[in-house]
Amino acid sequence: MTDTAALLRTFCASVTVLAVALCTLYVSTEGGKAFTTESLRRSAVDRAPQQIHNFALRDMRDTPIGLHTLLAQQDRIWLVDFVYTRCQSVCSVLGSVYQQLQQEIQAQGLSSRVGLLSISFDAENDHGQVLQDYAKRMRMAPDAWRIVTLKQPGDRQRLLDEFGIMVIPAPLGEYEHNAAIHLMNASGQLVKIMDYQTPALALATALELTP
Amino acid sequence: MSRSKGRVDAPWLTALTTAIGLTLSLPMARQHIEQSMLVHMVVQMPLLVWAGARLMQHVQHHRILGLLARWNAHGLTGFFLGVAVLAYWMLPSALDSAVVNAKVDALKITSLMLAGASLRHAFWLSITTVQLFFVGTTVPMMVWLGMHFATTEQRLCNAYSLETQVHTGYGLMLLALLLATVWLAHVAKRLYAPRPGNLALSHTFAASTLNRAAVRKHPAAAVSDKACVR
Repeated sequence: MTDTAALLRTFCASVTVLAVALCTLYVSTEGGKAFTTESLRRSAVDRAPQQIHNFALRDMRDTPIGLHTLLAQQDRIWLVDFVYTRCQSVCSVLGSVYQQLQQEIQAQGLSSRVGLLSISFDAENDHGQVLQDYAKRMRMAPDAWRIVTLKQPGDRQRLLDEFGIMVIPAPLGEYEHNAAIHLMNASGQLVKIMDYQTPALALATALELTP
Repeated sequence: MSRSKGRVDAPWLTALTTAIGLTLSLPMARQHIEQSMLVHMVVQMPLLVWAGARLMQHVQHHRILGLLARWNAHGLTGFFLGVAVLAYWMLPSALDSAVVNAKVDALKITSLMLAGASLRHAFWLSITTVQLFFVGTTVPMMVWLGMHFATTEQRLCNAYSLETQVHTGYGLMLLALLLATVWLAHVAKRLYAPRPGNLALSHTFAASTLNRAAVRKHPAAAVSDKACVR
């Protein structure tokens, strides 16, 4: 009789442990769909647009401008990415992706509906002149693609946190970070996060979201 | 390895594994787990599990273990608990949170040490067949994850570079191999032990009662697995 009782108790305990474990896994992976921080971040934005703080920025002429003012200049959807101009790796790929997007926007005359915005998180290094050189190198057209950085370098962590970007130091003084295209609307909301590997899809999604 | 009569060798090793495992989460040494996924996942996490298992060995004669064994026939509950905790900490998003959030890191330390203790208890109470089931699911899980980490082009953790993710992949496969080897060596030692009676541990009373009962009912059980004969 002892063994039957022990087996019954064990059965109950094991089932409880398994149930708690499966529930925890289910909740923390959003039903087995999101195993990475990146996919969790994207589905959080899909569920509800995230209001982003009105960060104080400055453009390549060192003119201060608030993020909300910048986004509200025209009622369009912005494709926002995060860069730093010294970058040799993933942001230079993002740079060429943005060049393609710019060509596409200009060719189809979409610049009143969508805009490209690159935000540098390396405010100490990326002052006005550096941004101007970068803009020249990337052949940015001012009406389609803008680049800004933070007015106060101290805002950097808050900016990255609000967008869910994690920047980690890499060899040779570089950074590595999760790169994506962030779709924002004119009222300063982050509405969608898309892969930078599929720029055409990001553009099409942005156009769907335009008023 | 099972030990008789409460002798636990190398308490210094328990102290060392616990100390290293905990220190890696403290501010002074934290940069190691923040910068290297390999140190985090293949050094710190196994150390914490091992430390938990070793600490369990030091309290192996405590009365509470006898009571817990009543809920842990064949070590099943212990194995489920241990393996569930290990599986959770294999999630890339869980690793990321442990890096950026101190509370999650504390939870990681506690749960992994608990998993170690729980698995240690389960190994004491279980026969080789049950062990084979759990080792046989955990080891392939680690190998599969290691292969995925080593080969995917995608960064899975926002906190870690692709390079350190690849290293972790190979590290996990090696660790899985090591675990499988240690367990097989342990099984071989048990099977060829001169006197199976050596293996009996006082606190496994409940399990041995179960096994003895099994042997009484089905004498074949004793032949099928020598570990049954306690």
